[in-house]
Amino acid sequence: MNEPRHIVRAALIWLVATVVGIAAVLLIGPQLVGWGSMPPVASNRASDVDSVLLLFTILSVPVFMGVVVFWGYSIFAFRSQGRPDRDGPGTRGHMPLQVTWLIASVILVSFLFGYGLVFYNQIQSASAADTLIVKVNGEQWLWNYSYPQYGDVSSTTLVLPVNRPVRFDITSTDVQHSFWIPAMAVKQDAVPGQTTHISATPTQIGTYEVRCAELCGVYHSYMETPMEIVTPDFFDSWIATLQSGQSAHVSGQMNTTAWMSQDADARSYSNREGWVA
Amino acid sequence: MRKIVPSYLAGVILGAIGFIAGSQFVTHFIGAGNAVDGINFDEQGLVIGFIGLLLGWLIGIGAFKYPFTWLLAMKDPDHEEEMRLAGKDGGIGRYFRFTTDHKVVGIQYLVVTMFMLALGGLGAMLIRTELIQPGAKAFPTGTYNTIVSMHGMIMILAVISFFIGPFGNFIVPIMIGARDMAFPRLNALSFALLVPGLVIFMFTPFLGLVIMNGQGGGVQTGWTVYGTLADQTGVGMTSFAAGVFVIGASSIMGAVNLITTVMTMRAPGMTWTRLPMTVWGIFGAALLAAIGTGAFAADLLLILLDRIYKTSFFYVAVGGDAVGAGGGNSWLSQNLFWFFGHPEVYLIVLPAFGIVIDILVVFGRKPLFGYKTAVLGIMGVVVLSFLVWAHHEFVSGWAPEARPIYMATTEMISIPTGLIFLVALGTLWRGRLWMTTAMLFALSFIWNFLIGGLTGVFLSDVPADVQLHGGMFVTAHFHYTIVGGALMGFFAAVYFWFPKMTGRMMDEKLGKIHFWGTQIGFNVAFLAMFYAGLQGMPRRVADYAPQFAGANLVTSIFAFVLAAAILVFAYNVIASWVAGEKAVANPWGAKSLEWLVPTPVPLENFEEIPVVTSGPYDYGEPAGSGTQIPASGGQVAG
Repeated sequence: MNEPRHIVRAALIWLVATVVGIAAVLLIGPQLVGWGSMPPVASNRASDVDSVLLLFTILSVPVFMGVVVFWGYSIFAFRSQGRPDRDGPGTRGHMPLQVTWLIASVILVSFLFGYGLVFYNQIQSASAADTLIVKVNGEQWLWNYSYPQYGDVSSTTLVLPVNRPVRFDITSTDVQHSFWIPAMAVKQDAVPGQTTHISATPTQIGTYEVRCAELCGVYHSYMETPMEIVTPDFFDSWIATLQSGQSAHVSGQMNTTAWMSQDADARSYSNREGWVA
Repeated sequence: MRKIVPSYLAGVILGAIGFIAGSQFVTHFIGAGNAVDGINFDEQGLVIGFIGLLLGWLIGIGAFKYPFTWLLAMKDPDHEEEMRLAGKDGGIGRYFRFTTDHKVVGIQYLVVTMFMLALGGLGAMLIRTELIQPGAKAFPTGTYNTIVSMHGMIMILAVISFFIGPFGNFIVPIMIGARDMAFPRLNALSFALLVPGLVIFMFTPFLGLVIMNGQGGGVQTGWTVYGTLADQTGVGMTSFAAGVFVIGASSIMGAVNLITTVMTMRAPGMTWTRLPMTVWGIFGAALLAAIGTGAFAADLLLILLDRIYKTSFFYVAVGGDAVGAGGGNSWLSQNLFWFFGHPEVYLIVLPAFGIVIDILVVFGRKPLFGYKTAVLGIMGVVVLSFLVWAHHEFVSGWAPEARPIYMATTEMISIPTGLIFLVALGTLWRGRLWMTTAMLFALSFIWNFLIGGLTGVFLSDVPADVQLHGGMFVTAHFHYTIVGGALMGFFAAVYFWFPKMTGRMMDEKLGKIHFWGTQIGFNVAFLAMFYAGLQGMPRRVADYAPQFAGANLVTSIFAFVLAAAILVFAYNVIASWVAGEKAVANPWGAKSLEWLVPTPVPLENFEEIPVVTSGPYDYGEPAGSGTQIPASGGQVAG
C-alpha cells in the first residue's frame, strides 16, 4: 500500500472519531449533573465552571483523537510479525509538519489562555453594593461562620439567602484548611494569620455541603458540615433568631436536593463525641 | 579487621552505635545540663541520633577512608586500591560495599529503587483497602493519613531516582562513550547516602506507634508537608523530614555528577546533536534535580527548626495557642515546597520521554522523527517547569493577582510536551514495529501520558482548578502522568536494558501478562478515580460520602489487579536474573554505543575510547558509516 492512502485513511478515521466524540460529549456532558456525576449547580460560579469544563472537553476531543488514531493506526498497520527483517523508511523529520504542529499548539494554547482569562475576570468581578459578608473561620475540624453586617452573630451552620452576592472572608485558627462548597464552585484556603476572600452568588435553594479540601490533620476526613441556601425571608427570620440569642435550627423545610442532606450531618466531626485528640 | 572495616556490616553496626550514642548520650548530657524551656529534646535527640547514624554508616563502609588518608598522610591511593574500589575483583561482593564502578552503582540503584516501589506499592494497597467502602473501617484516620504521607513521599523518592539512578549511572556513561562517571567517588557516596536516608525515613511509622505526640503519632501532612500542619503533627515528622533531607542531598550529588559527566566525558565525535534522547532526558532531569531539590531541603530544615527550637518560620500562633513565638508564614512553606515540587514531576517524566522515544526508534526500525524538535521539547520543559509552581496555589490566597501568569506558563508547557508527541508519532509512522514487551510499554506511555497531559490542561485553568483542586480529579491526573507515564517508561527501560545490565533476557511471555494486567488495572482504576473527582470527592480522606462508593469500589478492585500484575513483574525480574536466557551483546539490533560493547560490560567499558562518526538513529539508510569501536571492546588490561 502506498503512503498517501495510509495518511488519508488515518485522517478519515480521525475525522469520524472526532465528530462522534464531540457529539458524545455534547449529548452526555449536560446530563452529568442530573445523574449525580457532578455536584449540583447552586451558584453563578458553578455554572461558569461547568461551561469551562464542557468547552475544554470538547476542545480536547480532536487533540486526543489525533494522537490516539495515528498511534493506533501505526500499531495495527505497521506491526511486524516477530523481529523485522528490514528497516522502515529513513525519514528524519518533515519540517512543514513540525512547524505546523508548533503553530497549531501555540494557537490552541493562546485560545485556552484567553478563554480562561475571560472567565477568570468574570469570577473575580467586583462585589455589588448589597453583598452579604460572611466571616469563615476554620479550626481542627469544623467551620465557624459569623455575619458582621448583622451584629457579628455566629453560627456553625452556613445559611445564605438565594440570589444575593456573598463574599467570604476566610481565615484559620490553627493549620491551613480549604473552604470548599462543591455546589457553588467556591474553594479558598483558610490560612492562619491571613484573611483570604472569595465571592459568589447562590442561585439555587437547597441543602448542600461545606467541606475541607486541604489535609488538616487526624480528622480531616470528617471536616464537613451541611449548609443551606434559603429564601431571603427565611434568612432574615433566621438571622433575627440568632440575634435574639436563641440557637436557630435550620432543617430542610426547603426543596432539598437530597445531596448529602442526612449524611453530611451524620458524618460531620462536630457530631461525634469523645473524639478530641 | 582489614576485611570487616570497610564493609556494609561494619556500616550497619557503627550506624546503630552512632544512632544510640547520638540520641541517648548526647541528649542526656546536653539536655540535662542546659535545659532550655521550650526546646523539644526528644526530637533534638532523634536528629542528633540520625546524624550519628549517618556518620557511623559512612565510616563503617569506608566512605571517609580515602579523603582522610589523603588529608592526614597526604597519600593518594595506589593503583591497586583504586581498582579494588572500582570493584575490579568482579565478584558479587562488590555490590555489597562502597564501590565506585558506575555499573555497580547502577545495579545497586536498580535494586533499591525497586524495593522502594514495593514499599510505596504496599502503601497504595493499604489505601485502596481502606477506600473499598465508605467508613474508616480498616485503620483509624490518623494511621490512614500516615500511610498516605508515606505512600506519597516514598513513591516520589523512588520515581525521582528510578531513571537517574539505575539507567543514568549504568547506561548513560556507556552511551556517551565514557569509562565511568566524572566523579566516581561522589557517585558511590550518593548511593551510600540513599540507603541510610531510607532507613531514617522508615523510622516514621514506628515512631508514630511508639510516641503518641497528642495527634496519634505518625505524620498527618501528606507528602506536601505544609508548614503549619508539619509543625504541629506527631513526632514521626522528625524522621520523615530528616530522611528526605538526606535522600535529597544524595539526589543533588547524583544530579551534579550526571550533568558534569554528560558535559565533559563524551567520546570524541559524540556531539550534542548525536546524543541519544535518553541522555537528553536524563540530563534535563538532572538539571531540575540539581536546581530544585535545594528548595525542598530548605523547607524540611525549617520544619525541623520550627519543631525543635520553636523558630516560627511557619508557626503562626493565633487563637492563643502559643506553642511558639508566632509570626510565621504558611505560604512560605507552600512556595518552597512547590518550587521543588513542580519541577520534580517533570524530573520524573523527562527521562521517560527520552527513553520511550529511543525505544520507539529501536523497535520501529526508523530514524528519530525530528531530532532537534525532540531536544527543543525536552529543554523547553526544563525551562518552563521552573515557572509554573504557583499553579498549585491557585486557591491558597497567595498572590491572587499573579494567577493568570501561572495559568499562562502552565498552558505553555503543553507546547514542548506536544512536540514530544509529534516526535513519537512521526517515528512510529510507517516503521516496522517489533512488539516486544519493552515496545508495548513504550507505546502505552503515549496513551497514558496523553490522558495525564490533557487533564492537566483542565487543571491549569484557574476557574476549573478552583473546583477540581484538592479533589480526586487531581490525584487521578498526576497518577496518569507518574504511573501511566513514568512508571510505564521505567518498565519499558527495564525490559529494554535488562539484557545489558544483567546479561540475561527477561521472559517475554510473563512480560506480556505483566503488560496487559498493568494497563487494564491501571486504566480502569484511575478512570474511575477521575469520575470520583468529577463527582466532587476530596483527596486524602479515609472516609467518604456514599455517592462516591461505586467509583471507589471499581478503583480498589482494579488497583489490586494492577498490584497482581506488578507481582508478575517482580517474579519475572528475579527469575530472569537468576535463570533467564543468556543475552547476546545486542539482542534488539540497536545502534547506540551501549549495545556495541560486550555483555557483560567489562570494567571501564571500552578498551579504547570510541570515535563517534554518526548518530544513534541510522535506520533505513545504507549501511557504511557508523560508530567505530576499536577492537572488540574487550577487558581492560591490568
